[in-house]
Amino acid sequence: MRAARLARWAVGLGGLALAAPALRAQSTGTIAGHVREQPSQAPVHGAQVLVDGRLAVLTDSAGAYVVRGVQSGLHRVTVRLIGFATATRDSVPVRSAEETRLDFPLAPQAVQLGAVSVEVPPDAVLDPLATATVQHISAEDLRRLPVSTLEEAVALSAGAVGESYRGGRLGEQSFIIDGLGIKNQLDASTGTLGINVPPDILTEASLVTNGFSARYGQALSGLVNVVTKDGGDRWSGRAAYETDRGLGSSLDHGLDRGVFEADGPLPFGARLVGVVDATGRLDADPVNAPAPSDPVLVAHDPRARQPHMLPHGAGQEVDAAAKLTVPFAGRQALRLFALRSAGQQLLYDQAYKYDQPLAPAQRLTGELLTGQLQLVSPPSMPTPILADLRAGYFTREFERGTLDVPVSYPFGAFADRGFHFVGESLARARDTAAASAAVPGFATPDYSAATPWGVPAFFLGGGSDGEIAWNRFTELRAQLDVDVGLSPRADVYLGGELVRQRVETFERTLAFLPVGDTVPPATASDFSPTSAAAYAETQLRAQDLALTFGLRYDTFDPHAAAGKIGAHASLNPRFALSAVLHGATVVASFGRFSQAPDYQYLVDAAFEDTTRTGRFRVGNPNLGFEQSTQYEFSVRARPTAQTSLRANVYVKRLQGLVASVPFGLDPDSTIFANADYGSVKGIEILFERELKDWWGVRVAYTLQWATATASNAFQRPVVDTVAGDTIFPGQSEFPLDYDQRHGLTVVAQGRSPDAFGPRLLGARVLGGWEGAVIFRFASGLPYTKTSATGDTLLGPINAERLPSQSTLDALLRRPLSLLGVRGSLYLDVRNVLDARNLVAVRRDTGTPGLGEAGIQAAALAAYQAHPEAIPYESPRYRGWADLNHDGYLAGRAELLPLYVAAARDYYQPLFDYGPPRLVRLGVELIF
Amino acid sequence: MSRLATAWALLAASAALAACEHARPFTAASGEPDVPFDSTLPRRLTFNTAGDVEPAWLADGSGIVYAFSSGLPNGDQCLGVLPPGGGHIGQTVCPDLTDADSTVLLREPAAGRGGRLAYLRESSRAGGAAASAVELVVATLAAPAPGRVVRRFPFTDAAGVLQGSPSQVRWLPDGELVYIAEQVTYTFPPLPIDTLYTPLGIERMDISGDSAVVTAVPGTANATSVATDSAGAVYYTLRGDSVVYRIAPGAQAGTSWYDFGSAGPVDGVQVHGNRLIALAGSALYLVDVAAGTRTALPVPVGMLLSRPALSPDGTRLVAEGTLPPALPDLWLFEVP
Repeated sequence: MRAARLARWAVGLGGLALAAPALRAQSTGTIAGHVREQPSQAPVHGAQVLVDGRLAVLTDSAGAYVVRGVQSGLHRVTVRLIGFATATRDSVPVRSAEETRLDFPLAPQAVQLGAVSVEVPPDAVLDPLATATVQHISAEDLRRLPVSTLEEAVALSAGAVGESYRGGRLGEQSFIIDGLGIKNQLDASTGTLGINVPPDILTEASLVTNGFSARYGQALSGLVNVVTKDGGDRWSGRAAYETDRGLGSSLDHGLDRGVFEADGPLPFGARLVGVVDATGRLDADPVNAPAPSDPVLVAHDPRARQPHMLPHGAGQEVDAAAKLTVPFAGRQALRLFALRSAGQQLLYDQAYKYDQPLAPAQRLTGELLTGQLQLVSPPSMPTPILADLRAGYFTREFERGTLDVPVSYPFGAFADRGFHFVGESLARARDTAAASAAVPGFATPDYSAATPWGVPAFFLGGGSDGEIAWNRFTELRAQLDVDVGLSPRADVYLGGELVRQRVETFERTLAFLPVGDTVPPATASDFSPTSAAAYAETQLRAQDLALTFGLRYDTFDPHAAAGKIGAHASLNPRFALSAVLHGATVVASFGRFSQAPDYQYLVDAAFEDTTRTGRFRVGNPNLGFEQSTQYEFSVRARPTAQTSLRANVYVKRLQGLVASVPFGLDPDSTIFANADYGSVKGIEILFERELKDWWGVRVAYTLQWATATASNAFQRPVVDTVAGDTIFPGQSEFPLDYDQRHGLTVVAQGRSPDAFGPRLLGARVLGGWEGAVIFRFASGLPYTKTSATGDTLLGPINAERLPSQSTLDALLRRPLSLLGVRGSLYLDVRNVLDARNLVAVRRDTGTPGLGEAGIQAAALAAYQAHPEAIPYESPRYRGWADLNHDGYLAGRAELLPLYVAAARDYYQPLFDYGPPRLVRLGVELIF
Repeated sequence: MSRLATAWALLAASAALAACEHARPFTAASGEPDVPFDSTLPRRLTFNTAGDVEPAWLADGSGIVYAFSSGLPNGDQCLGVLPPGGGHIGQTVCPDLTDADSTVLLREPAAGRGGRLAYLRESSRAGGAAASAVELVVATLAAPAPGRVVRRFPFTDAAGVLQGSPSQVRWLPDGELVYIAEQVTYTFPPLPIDTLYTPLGIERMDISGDSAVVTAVPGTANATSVATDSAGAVYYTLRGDSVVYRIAPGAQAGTSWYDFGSAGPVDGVQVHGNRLIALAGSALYLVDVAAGTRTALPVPVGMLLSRPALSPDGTRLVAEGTLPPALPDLWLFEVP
């Protein structure tokens, strides 16, 4: 009896193996189904299945077929066989890492059929093969919704708090562009990727927050998966321009955005797509801070009269991308993709409010070149094999400092040239010896005399903060992925990658002074890490049960400074079990993930963390992998044919995150180590009504707890200032900076029928309108309260909460056709209700401002530091404050009000507030 | 193709419609209007309680460069440039004011043609009575610091005399400098702590080479003031002497040019063409040497004048004016 049961299990497992479905690379999906004869329902054997006109596969004896490696997007699928009427289905949607079910009824040729009916049940909701928690956004979504960038679109996903996913730190995600992993391995936790994929070259993007395939590493919390499109069959394109010009002073933030996209065929079957997306904003970081109400400030502070736009905040971003697809030998193809992003921005600094040329600026450029060679076995091959060989070159260069000469802006926020910085040549040469002296071009800052208040306090001028920061990260990556179809329903995936990187950094602070007791030496590094990975994964299915198992091996060797202990390695299993029960699909998954630490933590860092002195942090070349382990249980169901409901419950354990630990006996000196740990648990509920009958809605709610011993690698142990002891907060976990308990996102879309509304001058003026609104609510993020001096914590870490935030965004689009050209006009409004969201507060007061008492105290302290009289000839003299008109500003009665006004001006809590209402008008032309 | 052209035309039209000017972020406040405190003459130019001294005109008359105290406890001293009629300091040259451990005085500014600037940089420990270093610096107004140190003081000259410090530095048209070499001594308790300057004589300094060449001007021992004119002549006065002497260009020794006679010993000589300004006794005189006329210029009652500087066009005079017990301020006078 027992033997028989074991035998049944064996058969069952064999069946599982046979039934294993396709689990495709993240840039491609699968089309699968059956071809049956009408009306007998007999399987049709040997029918040709063509995708986009190219023979893909033949049906087997059961009439089944599987086409793997189909690029994400819309495709034309044709089934033909002599003796039968050819059946074609246009615009078959294929999503990355998902299977589209497509069954064809074939009628004998002798019978005249009308329209061939095709069943398309690509139900990703109930599909038990979809074990990962994936939230998609398509190119069409990007166009319909009030979002402009990929980052904004991904942030709509459940579990996303900005670029923190499921409570993770910044930088715990990886980008997958057309199947190739890309990551800013230098400083992902504090910097951006450096390249921006223009939305117009996307087919779709998705956020994967659990159980991602063993094919991918370099991430702990999520994958942002991007699939770019191929050029079309005929030349077409889109040009768009959007702006907030002419909307009045309170709405004009100096925005210009132009987009041009074109794609089409080239000789020899090649196809090309190219996109340029350029955005300039005079105020690239707008805030909704209230204008000052103090009558002295109103009378003398220029911002009081025009509070909507901050100076020295202009930023521009130009992204250009192109993709060349060269097919050969049937479905095989070579794809070359190039992307360049160049951004530069002036950084508003309140200290340099009146000496703006001395305020910092930064430039960030990124370049990506990838090539993909896809080889597909012939359709007749009994064991189909799909091989993708990918190679990528990625470079990212960052620089921040003081502009050598101010730039001019001939059009909007677009500068006449790229930024260059004081000391740039020194930084690029990583010349620490030369940088030990005061760096030419820098001057010692002094209190500004250009303020409306004149007094020597708070605001700086005469010289910049003296920072030069430059780094460059370069990566060459080769990746091979092989999919073997063991049977129509069983695949095995094998592959690996080899990565060679180079890290170059330079940093100097207080460069107007020579290196000395209070000025740390310049830091520089130049090393070439290597990393490699290998993986194997399979998925088994029987009836409505699926089992996925994968194993990934990662290793990296920093090849950094002396003292390293060699290469680090990590073994990461991933497992998922899914089943359809009572009309709902349940998935239980477990995954272990690892990522190499930011390379910035391997090298020394010099930085200025107070106005008194610079500091030095010791890098650690022995840092190992950061790791996480995640458990998830999810349920997916369809309450109705058009609606879906998903619930995910997850627990994530974080280990070995980089943290600062004491170094030596000096409690103020630290070194980086894999010392932090934490945990995240949460529930995500997603409800969706698909866009049908002119409307659709998606609701995502997240309830989450995220705790750890540190929110980032720079948080230091607390030093007891009384006893002098070092306290290790690693003994207890506290809420992470991104511990947003409640998050709610509602996305609603609608479209009026073309024939809707009354006819006016021969046209339906209300017909064809498209609209979308996004409502977001988020409970407050935590913060820690401190004493007024900031060196004593009041209560537990991150025990206080900011107020909740909410925004309402809307986009309204009116299609138009003029002189044979199609297009649309659209109005995009962010923060429609102009909500004044509080995104930060002072840790000592718990309020956005310093408070009246704090301002008076700061002013009095500044006055006492400089009580000297200000004579008439001084640039600091202000006649309106000379009460006795004697040519001096002297004494408390005349000077203190100036110090109070300066303090009130300086401590305006500008960046404690989120962005205001932002409106943009756009025109789009499609040709 | 026509549809593509239409699309481009529509897009261009949109851009053209949108090409209106953006709202601009505010720029820094301009502060105060740069006008004199009052319109009368003589006019008080500076109100600094810590003293404003050693005025000199820029070569083109576009401003007045002078030395003033920073007001910091360590007593650092800066150079400032005032508009020619008074107003707010347009340019300031200061030592590193964050260095509280030392005192650095920038003194004796002299502006030459082509924006050249010479001045003294005198350093000591904070509060120290004696300077640890005195440097004669040549720079430009556009890049006034750190400049080129053309001579460090004290040094022993070719005659074996120890020159402690220069004063009244003047430019000659050919780019040479002239100054009065001084002996510097210090007094300590029980006497009041003080620095005493004793004039030695006038020196010419050629700074065209890598190292400056200093040549003593004969007959100038005990010189109390020195001036130059646009032709390259040097004028000077001597202690206790009522005569203004002139050394013509190319000449080796001075000759009497004007004698104030009974008006008393003369000091603070300034020359423009045949017009001579000088302090004799307690009065400020304007002399037309060619015509032989001498006029006393009105000075505010009780004011002690020193270091007069005549504007390049000869129409205005700026001088240190002291109304005891206040420290000196700069005053502007009209020269009729």
